[in-house]
Amino acid sequence: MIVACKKQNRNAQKALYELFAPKMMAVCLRYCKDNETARDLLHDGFLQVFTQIGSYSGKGSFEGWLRKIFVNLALENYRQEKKKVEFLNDYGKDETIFLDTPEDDYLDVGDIPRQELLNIIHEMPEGYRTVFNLVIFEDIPHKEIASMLGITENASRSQYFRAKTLLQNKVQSMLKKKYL
Amino acid sequence: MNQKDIFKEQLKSVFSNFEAPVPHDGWEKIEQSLNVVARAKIVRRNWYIGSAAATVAILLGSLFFLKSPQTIEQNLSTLTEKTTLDKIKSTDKQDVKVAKVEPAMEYKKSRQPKLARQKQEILVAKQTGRSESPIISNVTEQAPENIVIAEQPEEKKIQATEERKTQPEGKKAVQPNQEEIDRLIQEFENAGKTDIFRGLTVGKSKNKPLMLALNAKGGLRSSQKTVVNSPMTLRSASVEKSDENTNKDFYLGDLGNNLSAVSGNAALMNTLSVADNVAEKEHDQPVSFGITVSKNIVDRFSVEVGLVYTYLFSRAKNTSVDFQNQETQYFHYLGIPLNINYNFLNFGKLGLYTSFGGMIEKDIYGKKQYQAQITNELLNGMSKEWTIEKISQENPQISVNAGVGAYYPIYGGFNLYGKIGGSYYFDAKNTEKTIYTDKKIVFDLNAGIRFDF
Repeated sequence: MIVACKKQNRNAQKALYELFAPKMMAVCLRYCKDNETARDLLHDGFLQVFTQIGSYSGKGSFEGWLRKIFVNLALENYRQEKKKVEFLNDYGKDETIFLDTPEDDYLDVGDIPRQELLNIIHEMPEGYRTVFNLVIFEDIPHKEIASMLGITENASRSQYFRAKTLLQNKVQSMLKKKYL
Repeated sequence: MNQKDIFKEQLKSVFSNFEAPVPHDGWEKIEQSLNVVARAKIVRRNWYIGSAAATVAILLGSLFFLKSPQTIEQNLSTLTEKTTLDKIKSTDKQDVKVAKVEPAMEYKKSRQPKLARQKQEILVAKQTGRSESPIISNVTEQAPENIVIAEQPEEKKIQATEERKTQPEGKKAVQPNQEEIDRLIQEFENAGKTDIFRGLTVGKSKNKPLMLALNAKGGLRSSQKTVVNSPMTLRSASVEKSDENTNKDFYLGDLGNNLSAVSGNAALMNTLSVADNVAEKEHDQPVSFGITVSKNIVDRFSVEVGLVYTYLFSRAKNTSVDFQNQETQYFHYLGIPLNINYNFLNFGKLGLYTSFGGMIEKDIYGKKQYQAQITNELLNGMSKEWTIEKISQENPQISVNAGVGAYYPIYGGFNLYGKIGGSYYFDAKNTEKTIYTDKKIVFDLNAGIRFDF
């Protein structure tokens, strides 16, 4: 199928799209603030996949290669829209909280429906959401994230912390509602 | 496994097999886009091939035109027809053989008098059949430059007839040895026709038939600066079109949009004061480098084409009590100039020329950096934004230019040259403001090295 896609065979491209589109849509939804933006990202991502598929050497997982394209595109969109938006007073607060608070509290998200978690991720500010995704799902260290997004390592840690706190608060509130 | 890992793994497991529903028309839209991309690719490829073919054709055509024997013959026949027969017919006493070569000698005398004399003697010898002349053998060893008679057999016949008519009886020449003449003619033919052409062209004017130039150009002033109290940005074309937009919208530009999106705080927008604004906008003068090729079209006139790279840089700054923003942008342009040069005066080696023409330019890469800082109580402090984005202009930039310059030969075919002039830039209706849009006329200084082929 990949070989046929490299030859720009439309049927093969369609088959590949139908096979991977749901998974890639899930990736897009995690990085975007709403469904509409995610759909645009899915479209642009597959367009890039089909135009650049010739560069896939066959080494490594094809799904991994595909996923990397979508993540990079999401980051590129993020960079284009706002290379860096910092509210200095909030940023200062972040630093303080980050330094004074234990790095991680236990958070049980297993009982929360996936759609609810996705909604919380959507509600996060764009910077938080991006860093959160990169830390949790891509396993990228803060130093590298800082380099990718053009921010400091502390800013990356801070944004991740705030994203996680936001998620924690929402989850706790949901759990309270559920068990009360 | 620590708590951090547990949290991470829990989230990962929740989303591990997550598949979201895709838009029902997703594939159709992608297919349409792919078709558009494929068409664009074909058009781009054809454009590249066409451009490459045109460039090669122009180069080969130029070379062919320069080296073409037909051209040489045309040049020579024009010269000889105009001079030889007229002179022969105008005087009975004049020596026909000398008259025939006289025009060529006139051109050659200034640079190569010795060769000219030798050629004159060759021709005389050939007409009279004195093949054993030492002059002839001398010249054939030196790869002679002229072959007027060899190229003009018809004229030779006429000349011979005329010669018989005007030959005094007492000076009747010895019958020429035909074999010897043919051999000489052949040798002269093989000696290279280019030299003849080159010699004649150089003699006519100091411009060589083809010139390759490397040049650099810069504005006569370091920058163009504007300071006003009303807000200014480097991207205000779209805002200017709208009468409904207030000064505040104009003033805030992208910052207003971004802050609204991020903070969602409409009140912030209303509290920003623009009354005490001081705006500065500055365009650095364009800096260009290029390579051009010139071709003589008629005596003293040459046409010049090439490829020119230009760098443009601009900055704008707005400052008020609670707000400050700064934009910087740069563009890389590539342009194709087309100029006509007229060499109007020579002082020894120094040549003066005037030039006029036009250029079409298109940006190939551009970037804008935007920084803003707001101090406001509603935000409980200060906010700062920094954006970098790629930018491009919609339309190509067309300009016309004129100038006067001088050149001076330094070594071999190399000449130093300089030109002072100005360009007028037409309004290209582009969004991003540059010196081309804000300052229609730009005076510049052009300098470089030219090589004459």
